[in-house]
Amino acid sequence: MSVTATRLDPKFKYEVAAHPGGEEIKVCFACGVCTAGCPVSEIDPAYNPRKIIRMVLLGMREEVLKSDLLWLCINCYTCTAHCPQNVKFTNVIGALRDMAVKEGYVHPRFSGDVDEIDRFMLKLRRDMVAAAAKEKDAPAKADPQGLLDQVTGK
Amino acid sequence: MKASALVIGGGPAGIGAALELAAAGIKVYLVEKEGAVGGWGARYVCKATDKCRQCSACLIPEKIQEVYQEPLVEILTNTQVVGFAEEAGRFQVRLQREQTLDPALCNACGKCLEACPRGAVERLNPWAVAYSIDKEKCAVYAGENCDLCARACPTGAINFQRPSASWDVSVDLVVAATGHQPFDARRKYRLGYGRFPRVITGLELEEALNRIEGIDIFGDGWKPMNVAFIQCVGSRDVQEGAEYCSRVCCKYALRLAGLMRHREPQTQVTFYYMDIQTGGKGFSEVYQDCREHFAFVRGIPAKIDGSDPLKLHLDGVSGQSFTTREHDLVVLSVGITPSPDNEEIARLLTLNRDEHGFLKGREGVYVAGTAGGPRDISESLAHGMETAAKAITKLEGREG
Repeated sequence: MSVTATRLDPKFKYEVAAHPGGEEIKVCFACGVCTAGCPVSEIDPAYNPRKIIRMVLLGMREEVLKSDLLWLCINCYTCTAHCPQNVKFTNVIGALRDMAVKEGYVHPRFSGDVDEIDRFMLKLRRDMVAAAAKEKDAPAKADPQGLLDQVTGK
Repeated sequence: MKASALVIGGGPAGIGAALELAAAGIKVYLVEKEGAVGGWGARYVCKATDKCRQCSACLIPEKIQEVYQEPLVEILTNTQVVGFAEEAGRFQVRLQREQTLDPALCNACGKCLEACPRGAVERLNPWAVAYSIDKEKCAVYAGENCDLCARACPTGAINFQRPSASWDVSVDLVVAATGHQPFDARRKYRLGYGRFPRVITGLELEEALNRIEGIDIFGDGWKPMNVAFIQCVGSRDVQEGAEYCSRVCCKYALRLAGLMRHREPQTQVTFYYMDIQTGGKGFSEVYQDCREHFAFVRGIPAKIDGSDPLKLHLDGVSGQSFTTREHDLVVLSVGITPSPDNEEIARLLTLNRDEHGFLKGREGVYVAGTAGGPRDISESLAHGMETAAKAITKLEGREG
């Protein structure tokens, strides 16, 4: 990714900081512990909280707000628990999502879709854990795909 | 000058203050709660490789010798301040001395050490003139009957029946050089300290390298090949109430890594860091040297898996995002935190504490060294001397 100074918006970070949830963004000193502990980053390294914060601080408004990556956060607050500067990145993501909706980068409908996907995934997880638990004392390793087929009735 | 002073704490700051006060002709009571003076720094290892790395660890034995040879300084180990009152600009101080082990009789022969099945007798640092009894390990302090060490002692230095002594001293000024507490790495649960044996603290590495010649740090023949140092553990951390740089961790970590490589040239080292603080004498040079031999990754790991080798979860290996890295030893560069005694000391001496819990001095009661905030060995020593000089000037002004 290249950064072009003339296309940067120096006011962006102040807007994020003024938005509920974004208050602490400017105190980040980029230690990277947010990304290092993030379960989403672990399955998709393109999702990088440290990088998103840096992009906001640099003023990369459009790149941040139109990015699909914003919607990958699962709101587990692990980054927030780890952050030595109390940045509360999960809340920052919330603020950025609000701004993306408000500024027309995504339809308001989409935010609700993502919430529903989260709930669906949690139910699926609950059912898969329950299915796996039936054989929790057996030495054989459960196969997630098989469990998925089992709980979705395929 | 016919005056007297109380210095609380026998680390580098307390010793520095005591020497400076004595040089001005002031009688000094140097009170140390442990069984030996020297403080944390006396346990540290000389980090010289093929040349001196200016870590200042050698200053401590040098100053311990000086202070023992200073007739105006009365060194009181196993002693605490239990009472404190002010009267017409002077301080009446009640001291209490634990006398189970009499340092005047102890000749450090080591027979008690061998006799104790619990390892409760210890030599706090290589320069300690007498042994100490660790009350947390000793059976007698746990209420049991035992006198193995006392019976083994050929000089009668150990006697559990000997009562502690209390007496009052009257002094013109007080220097509180009560030191600090290394950060408790257990608080960083996900880094695995206390759960995984090969996750250790910088302090433990110091002590191990001080004990042995090579890098067999656990004493079981195993040698680390691929070491990770994680910086800023418990420093610059708002969540830990430590919104400050501890000023020592970059310095000790880089020098310790250099020492390990000097002892075992095959040792690979990676530093995980936010930014390296290169303050202090001669440190830029050490850092440049380290840049050539060690890997530097700008990112603090969030989590360590207790596998063998250990697996670090991190962000920041050049060009990559989330990734994992394997190391066979992880050293947590723990920082300086306020001593847990500070609350009690502040109450006793009527001192204030800053927002982090470090002590602040006042008229007649000065604060020196890490009791007042993070400092390294040479800074603590210098601060002790500087504080004493300030106190002397003030005292001279009052008398003159």
